[in-house]
Amino acid sequence: MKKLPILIIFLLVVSVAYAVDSTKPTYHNTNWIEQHGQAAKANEAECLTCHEERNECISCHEDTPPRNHTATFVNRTHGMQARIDKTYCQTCHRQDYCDSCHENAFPLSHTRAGFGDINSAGFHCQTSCQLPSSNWRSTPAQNCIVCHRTRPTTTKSGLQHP
Amino acid sequence: MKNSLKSVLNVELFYVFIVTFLFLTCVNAYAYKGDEFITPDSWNRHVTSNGVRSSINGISFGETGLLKMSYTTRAKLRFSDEMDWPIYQYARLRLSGVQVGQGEFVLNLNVRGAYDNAPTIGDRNYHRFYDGLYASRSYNEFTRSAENLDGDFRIYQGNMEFKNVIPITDISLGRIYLAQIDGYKIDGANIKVTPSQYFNMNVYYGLPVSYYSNLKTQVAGTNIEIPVESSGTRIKLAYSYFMHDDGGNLNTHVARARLDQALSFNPMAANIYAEADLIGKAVVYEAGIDSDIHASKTGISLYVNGQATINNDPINTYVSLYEGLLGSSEYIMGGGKITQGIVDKLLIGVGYEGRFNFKTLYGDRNYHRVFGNIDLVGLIHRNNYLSLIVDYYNVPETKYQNGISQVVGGFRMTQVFTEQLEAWLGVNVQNYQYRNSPIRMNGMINNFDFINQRVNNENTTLAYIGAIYKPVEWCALQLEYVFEYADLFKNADLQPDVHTVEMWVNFLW
Repeated sequence: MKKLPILIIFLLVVSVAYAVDSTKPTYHNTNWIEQHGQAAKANEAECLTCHEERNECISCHEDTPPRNHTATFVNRTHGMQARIDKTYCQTCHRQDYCDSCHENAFPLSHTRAGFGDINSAGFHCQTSCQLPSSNWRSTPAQNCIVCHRTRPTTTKSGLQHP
Repeated sequence: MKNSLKSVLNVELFYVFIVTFLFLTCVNAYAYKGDEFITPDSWNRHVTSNGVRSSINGISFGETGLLKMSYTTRAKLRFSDEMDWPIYQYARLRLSGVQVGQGEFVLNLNVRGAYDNAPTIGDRNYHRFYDGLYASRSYNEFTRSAENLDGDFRIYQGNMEFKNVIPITDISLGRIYLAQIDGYKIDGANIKVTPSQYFNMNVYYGLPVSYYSNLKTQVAGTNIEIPVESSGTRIKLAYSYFMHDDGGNLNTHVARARLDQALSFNPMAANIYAEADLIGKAVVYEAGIDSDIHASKTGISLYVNGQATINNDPINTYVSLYEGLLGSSEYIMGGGKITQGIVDKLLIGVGYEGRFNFKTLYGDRNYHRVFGNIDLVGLIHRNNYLSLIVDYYNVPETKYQNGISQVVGGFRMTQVFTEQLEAWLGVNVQNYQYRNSPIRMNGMINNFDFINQRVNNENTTLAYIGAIYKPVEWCALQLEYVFEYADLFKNADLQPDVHTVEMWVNFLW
């Protein structure tokens, strides 16, 4: 009876120390996550020897977002990341992805009360957007032209935009 | 009595220690090769949770064919301020090895159906399963309800391949990926001709599969490849022409030249690459080396990339889907990473990346990034892989723009129990410091100078634990729980905790 705990722990150790073979090639090591992209560009046929269904490519690059795409990333910081290094985004995305969301999903500033109401204290002019009289592209309104590619000529009510 | 019990326990613990020690000493089998720092099979779960498994064996089909089929159900329950439960169904089929004449016929068909009970967030039409597999040629493709966005059905890969049915020719038809331009997905055809082992040529044509059904673009292109296996050299040239339905100046192109050189000699293996692309009127380039010095357990990666010229006044950034993601300024960026294995159980990696823009513009920021990892291989337990990671970004402020800093730290751990059971656990803590507006605006009314320039110092914590269990060859079950805490939501008086439970059930034949 005294030996029962020993036996149980021994069995546990045996179960977790079970020998398992990996089918991965030796170069699928800790650096592979950073290196596999260039390897695939060099010789995709070699990848398809094992990944013939492209399941692993599709799973990570098209289906499920990476862990670092947290709710904070989705709602706020992805724009900053895109300004830092767009080549990182291009690992999976092209431009249609950015635009297809930003047509409908607006920045947080746009959701505050009165953002589009000229009579409101929260109206976007001189709160989130600032226009000088000269060059539209070099203004502090650059926040705006990320989505609004060209200077709006009229307002929603049809008036001429300043 | 107490002393007696203590004595018995001490003796038993001593036995346990001896037995465990002896057992671990005599078993030398890793779940992976420790001296090569190969990660466990499920290591990619630390990058993404995806639990869709591939078929392995397949079923004989006819005399020479092999049929692989798989079906996956993915159910996700996410609760925070609101509850969301999308369900996904994946069905995949690959028929290969079917002899046609002297050649082979291959069929690939991958489909996904999705349902989401809450496809919008607040009043925004933000689709929860709005991922890469959502792209299609038409918004109402097959069964998706266009009214409330509550479901979709997509063929995300569907093609036929005729390999060498016509001598020296491989033909792919259907929804295919073009390796020539970064896996660009089209509905079309690719014809590959291989007259020699030292030369092959592709011609392709199709319609891009995009989030926009009205993309009005066709792409046609060609590429040649000169592979020299004996020397490990590959030279590739590709040209893709994107045609808009309205034609004229809207048409654009992507041209590419690439050289890869593999080096393999004791005690070192390396891959060297150099590539230059012409995207519209912009020239971008990259070059680098990934090397592994076996004898000293050292890995060295160095890379540089950049943009030499810019696209002045791009006419239509949607045509090729490449041009809008170019830099507005010429830039150069580069970096490197060195990993050093110490004995078989410890590996240390450090890296740096930096970017310099030749002009200061809104969308192009200089930055410095420093990152590192410490991997403990089989140290805690013979079949355990533990990695501690840190990643720091600093974007300095400029005359007109505010600075940003970001640091991520955490750990990743995978335990292989048996060939049937693996589990993983990880924690990432991210700190982001930034101002509300990236622009250093001033002179705003109604206290908005203060609001726009307010400094945010926010933490996001992500923790996950999951396991995959394969009771039999034809079935794999994955279960995972993810916890996320975000200061961003707390500061906005929203629920900062998000809990997600996700289950994947794979049937594989």
